[in-house]
Amino acid sequence: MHSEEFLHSLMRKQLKLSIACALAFLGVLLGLPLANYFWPELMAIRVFGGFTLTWFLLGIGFFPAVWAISLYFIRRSIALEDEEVREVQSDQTPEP
Amino acid sequence: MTPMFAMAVDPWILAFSAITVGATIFMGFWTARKSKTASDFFVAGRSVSVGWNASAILGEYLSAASFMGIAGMVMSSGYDALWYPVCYACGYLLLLLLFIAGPLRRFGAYTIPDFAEGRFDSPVFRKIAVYFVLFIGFFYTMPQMKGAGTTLSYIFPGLPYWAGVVLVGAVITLNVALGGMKDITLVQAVQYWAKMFAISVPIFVLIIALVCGTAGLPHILVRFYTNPDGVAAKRTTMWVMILIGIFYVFPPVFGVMGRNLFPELYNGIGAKGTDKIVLELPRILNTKYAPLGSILSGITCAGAFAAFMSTFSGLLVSMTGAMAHDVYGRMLRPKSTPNERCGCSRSSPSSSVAWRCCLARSWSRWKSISWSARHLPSRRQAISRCCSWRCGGVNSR
Repeated sequence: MHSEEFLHSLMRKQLKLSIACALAFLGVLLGLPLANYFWPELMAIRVFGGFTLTWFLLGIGFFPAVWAISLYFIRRSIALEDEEVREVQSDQTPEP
Repeated sequence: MTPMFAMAVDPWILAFSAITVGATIFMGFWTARKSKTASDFFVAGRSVSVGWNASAILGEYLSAASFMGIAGMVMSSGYDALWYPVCYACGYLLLLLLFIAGPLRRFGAYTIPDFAEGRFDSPVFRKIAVYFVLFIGFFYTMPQMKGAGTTLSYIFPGLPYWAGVVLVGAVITLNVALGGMKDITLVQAVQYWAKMFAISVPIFVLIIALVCGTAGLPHILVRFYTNPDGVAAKRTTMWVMILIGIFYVFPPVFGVMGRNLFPELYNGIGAKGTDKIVLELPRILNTKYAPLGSILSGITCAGAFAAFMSTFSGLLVSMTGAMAHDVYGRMLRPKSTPNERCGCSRSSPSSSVAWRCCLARSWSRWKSISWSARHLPSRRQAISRCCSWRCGGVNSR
């Protein structure tokens, strides 16, 4: 059940997932200053009365984005573990 | 506006702060009394609610820097400083959730020094890790003390800055020595909600009173009763992300409002400067609605107390653990009995505080600190709490 192979394939998959999520996060993180740099007029638009778009994105909008990434990561990570367990168990069931 | 700075002690502010300090000390006594059953509970490895655990992690994580410092920085530096809270919160995702929690848990290590020694099969790495724990703890406590000094010199206008530092240092040392109070999930969770309340309620009242807007605070206190496994750990982290995000929306609001409403703070430096905007801002309501401003200011003061007290004592406990469990128990005298290690840990919290604010007073005879050192050695704050899941395994060796 707890063979090396089982563990390693799970770890590889989860590492891949981690890296993908980290890249998505870095994309969001670096995207905002880049947007500030390349589209200053767009980011200076006033939203919700008072603040500019860039203030809004950094002060509030950032957190939901991070939540989405972590939610996706948690879901996928748990699903990966379940899949792996199911595979191993189905391999073992033929034995009486 | 100037009389505001010259006035005497405000009874409302004093009352709220006193209540917070009193409640914290009471919780210290209370947990000291209950620690026996609590240790049974945790060592038995039974489940802790995800919501409480997430709150507890944040109770420790949100320091004086988060509570007062961010608002002050947003006020003085504007947009650039807004990156701080975002990065504080997001560092959590990047490091803990994606890369650290999983491997650490899989490895079966509960503290960073444990992991370092086990992974590299070398006690040298344990030593290095312990030094890092102590080093980080030492520098992390500095801003907490600054927050303490700022808050106390705000409450008592005549009090010198150093006196606030010494006073708060003494109270926290007493508290840690009494209860090892950081080690009961409930207490830490309460600290988070105290801070959340303190940072959000005045803002909401301010917004309603000043801008006539309306807003609703999403009160999310969901308790999952789960088994202590990986799924629960991941869920807790999710809740930490959510709670931390919600919290960090508020300090910048204080900063921005302070920019417009309290420009005179730009003249002050240190404890009299922008750092105290969170404490000072609600007072503005006093001109129209007499005691309301003081009440709200008292609430933010109470939150500031909760912030630096919880973080400081959390650091103190983990440094104590590092001293007793890792330095003494594993490096200096590997063959020492659990009792001897406890004896060592009794003296370490007071000595490490003494370094910091020259407190020579020793609280070393209390039984309860030995409990905390025996059962929660060198638990490195949030990281290990995510992974170890309050498991008593590290102590059972």
